[in-house]
Amino acid sequence: MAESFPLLNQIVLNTSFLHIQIGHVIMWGIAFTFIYLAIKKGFEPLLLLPIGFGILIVNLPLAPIMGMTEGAHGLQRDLVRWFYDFGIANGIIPCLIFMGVGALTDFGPMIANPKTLTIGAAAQFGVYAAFFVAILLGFNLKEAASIGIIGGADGPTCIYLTAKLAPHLLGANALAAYSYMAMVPLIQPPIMRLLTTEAERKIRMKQMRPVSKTEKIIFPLLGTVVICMLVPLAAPLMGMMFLGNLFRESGVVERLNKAAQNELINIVTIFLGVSVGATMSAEKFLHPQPIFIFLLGLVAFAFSTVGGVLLVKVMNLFLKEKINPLIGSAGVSAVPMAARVSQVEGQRADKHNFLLMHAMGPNVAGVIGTATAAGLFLTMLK
Amino acid sequence: MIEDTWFFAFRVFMGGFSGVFMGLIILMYCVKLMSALILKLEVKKRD
Repeated sequence: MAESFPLLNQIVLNTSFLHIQIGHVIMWGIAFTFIYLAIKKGFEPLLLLPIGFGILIVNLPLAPIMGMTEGAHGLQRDLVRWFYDFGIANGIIPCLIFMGVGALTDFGPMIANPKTLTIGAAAQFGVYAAFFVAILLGFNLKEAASIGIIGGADGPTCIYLTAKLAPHLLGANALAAYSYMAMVPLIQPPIMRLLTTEAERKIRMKQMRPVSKTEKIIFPLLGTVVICMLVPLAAPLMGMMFLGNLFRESGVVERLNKAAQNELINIVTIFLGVSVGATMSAEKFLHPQPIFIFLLGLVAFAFSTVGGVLLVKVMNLFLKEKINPLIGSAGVSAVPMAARVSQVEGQRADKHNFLLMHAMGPNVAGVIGTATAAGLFLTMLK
Repeated sequence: MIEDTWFFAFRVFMGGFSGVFMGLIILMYCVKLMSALILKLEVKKRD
């Protein structure tokens, strides 16, 4: 029969069905779970949806998606491989996303209360705690650093650092980072309640002073110079973020500001999500390592929350005007989710307490802190 | 070799964490200075 229809035989042999392995089926399950979580539960849908689809499509046997295929001009990159090599591997996409993040961020609460910058630094404790635990579990220094940065709760920074230090962990790290960012409202509150008393949770903070337009315009320039001079390897991320913020605050480039906030960030998010998902082929992903990475991500998030809350408690020993320790947890960068968690927890203790704007200070400081931590890892490990 | 790794990891831990703190504390003082100068100038302008 097959000999009678050689062309049909060839077509049948080249369908994916005959090449399916159990690993592919497991990965489809993971892909569908992420797509389900994105659509039905609304967990970070802008990323989990394209990531889930990327996982699905790369685990369809024989599909030329992420490898190299023989073409008219020799070996050529497959579709998503182009996105990955030119967008992720050299760090372009995370930096462009940071430009959008900068254009979307109001640094006003942080400028009004610069002390919150130290909270953003303390909340990087989880990064270093997870780094240490990862080494204990047998990961090498570069892998451990890329896992630790999950604790910063900043997806683009995590992807940027992992692509530079341990690209083989990119899929697992990115997925862990975004999954835990979506789970901030579940992870943080028990830790926050455990570390604070009822009286501390009821602390009301004084209304912040208004921040002038001049301050808001000068801050991105000042931030660029200070951070990029101190940690030059953080310049690609920080430079782009502050450029986006300058677009926003200058008020003279509204078109660029809107493009950075909308079109640019949306387009690169598509490429980022699909490329990250496509790194998770069954043969690369189905090992014990991703399970460890997920556990370490949780350790990192928990310790980052602890670091932020405890620093506020220590600061309160010396301050006349007390800070509500619940805003300490917002030092992890998940913007604005972590700040909202502080607000919700604050209102559980006192219905009339409004912490959101106070929590935005450490929240945006956390973004600067995580990018600085990434730059320092690159400086020390590259 | 293993001891070397641990020693290096410890240095990365200490250097990294204190580096982040130092960086953000320097930025904090720069922001304070910037705000003080701008507010002073704005008050002067108004007067």
